[in-house]
Amino acid sequence: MRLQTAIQARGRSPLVKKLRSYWPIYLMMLPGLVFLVLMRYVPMYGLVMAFKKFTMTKGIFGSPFVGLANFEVFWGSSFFWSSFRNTLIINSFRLLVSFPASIILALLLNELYNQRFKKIVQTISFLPYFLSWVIVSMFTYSFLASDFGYVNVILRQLGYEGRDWYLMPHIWRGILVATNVWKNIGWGCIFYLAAIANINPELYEAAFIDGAGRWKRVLHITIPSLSSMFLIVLIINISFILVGDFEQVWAMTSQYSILKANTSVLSTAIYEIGLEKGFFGQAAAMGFFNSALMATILVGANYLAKVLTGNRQAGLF
Amino acid sequence: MVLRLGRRSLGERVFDAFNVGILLLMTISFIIPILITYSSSITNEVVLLKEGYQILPRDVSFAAYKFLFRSNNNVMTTIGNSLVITLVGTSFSILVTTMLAYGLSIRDLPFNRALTLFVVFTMYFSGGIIPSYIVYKGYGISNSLIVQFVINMVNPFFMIIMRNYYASLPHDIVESGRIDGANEFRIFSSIILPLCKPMLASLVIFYGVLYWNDWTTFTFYCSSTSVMPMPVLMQRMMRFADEILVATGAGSIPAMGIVPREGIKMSLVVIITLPIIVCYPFLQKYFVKGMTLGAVKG
Repeated sequence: MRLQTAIQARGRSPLVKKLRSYWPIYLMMLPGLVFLVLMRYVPMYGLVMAFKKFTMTKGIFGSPFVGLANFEVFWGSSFFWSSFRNTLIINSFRLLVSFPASIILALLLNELYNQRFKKIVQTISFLPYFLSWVIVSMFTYSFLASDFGYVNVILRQLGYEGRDWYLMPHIWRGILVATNVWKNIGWGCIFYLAAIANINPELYEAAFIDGAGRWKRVLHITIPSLSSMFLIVLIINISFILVGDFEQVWAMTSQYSILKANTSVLSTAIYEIGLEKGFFGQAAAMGFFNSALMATILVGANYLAKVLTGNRQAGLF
Repeated sequence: MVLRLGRRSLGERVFDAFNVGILLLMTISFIIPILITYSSSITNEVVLLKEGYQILPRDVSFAAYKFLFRSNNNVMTTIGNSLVITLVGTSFSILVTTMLAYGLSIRDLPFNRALTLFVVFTMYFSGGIIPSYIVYKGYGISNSLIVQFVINMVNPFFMIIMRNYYASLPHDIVESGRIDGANEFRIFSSIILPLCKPMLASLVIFYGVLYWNDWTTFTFYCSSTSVMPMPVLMQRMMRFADEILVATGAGSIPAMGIVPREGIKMSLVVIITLPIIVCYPFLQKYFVKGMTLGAVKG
């Protein structure tokens, strides 16, 4: 009897009946949704503090509005602008290197004949993704430490002077980019490899019969089949171009204040100004500015992808 | 996998050799840092300071580990905290994420699209650390283990992958369960979940690593040493030279001889990474499978 009503309810019944038949499903979804509201959406609403003169005692909602005062403070600070510049430089540079790097790695892996070797390379290349930036920062330290780092050990063996890498601020943007590529290149190509595995092998056979060599097959079959994926990855990467990687930058450079001028990014600046120095309003305003800019870039990049490809389905949403 | 079509020309042979060479170099670059830190952790400190870091240990000594594994120091506390955070966090996350993803995988569930958007939105936008800090403090969960194992309860990215995986399962199974009279909870727990074993294994490694490696949650929202996880201790040892003495309690016991500062840092790296490196090859095949099926349209 219960079953019958359930089946009827699932047919062309009004919304209420449908909702009623699905109540156990909603109940199962509830904990996740409650989590998102409490831990993600309430803090989003808390962003109003960017427009308030915030004090701990009055809280987010009790503090008085001050308009754009918080924005004016950081707008005039050189620390903010240097962090803004660093974020843009580091992330653009990273995009230029890491985006093609993962694609090239996927294509190279795909060209391997020896499946066993391929599997080993693939397995090891994902591994750094699962290690935290604190660990990668220790790896970097074991290479670059001035007195006993591995690079200096090698340099000395070759008869050169060792160098104080941690006292050379101008090389650190490059190091951040390089370590980022090192850590994420394997993970970045997992999606491409999955997509390549889904390409119909008959396409390659047909191309071979038509006289296409290996390079031509890559150029005219593999790469075009991945193009929509390139676009999605590119949009996501571009939209994060103003989001500094707090974990990486803080783990790798925060102990060396001399590096700060070249490596401080927006997220680390927000952390320093807000949580270390206690200027909550100003830091929240910087965060608000950062998020708003990111949202604009995301929507813009997505729109651009649709216009450039002439395809309404292209892009993320 | 590339199809073997026709004979390889000379150019192709050169390319293949070059390709293998490049990939081999890259693979070595992934292994060397691990070798250097692992071997340094078991190198005699005096030799280490004199000769620098090496790929293979010259003079083996376990002094650093002896400093770490003494009872009643902060190191043991952080190991305990990391274990609690990872075990509790991962179990809750998997439970909550699989249930949420199941609901969203049902196409004709009313408000499905809106709810999916509600989850995905959090992937791109957040309140940021300052409002989060104030809000969590208001809840009374900041500066505790709770905030650290609750913070990643639903990761939208993993949730979407899980949802896509459910959607790839044959639909008749659910219907046959209904006809047999099973209720929704039973269908989920005894029909759906057993079919998702590879995906569940992927979630275990994703969430497990996420919690095990998490040091920003403590950095943002906590301050007491009593709730500190291992990666934070690691990070502080790099930042503050004295942290090594404080954490291991070595400063108060002069009888133990010189403190192997570099060795202690490196042996902590070993303790943090070893569980991941050991489990990883076994779970790896599952997540490649899960990602392949789940990430088609994210």
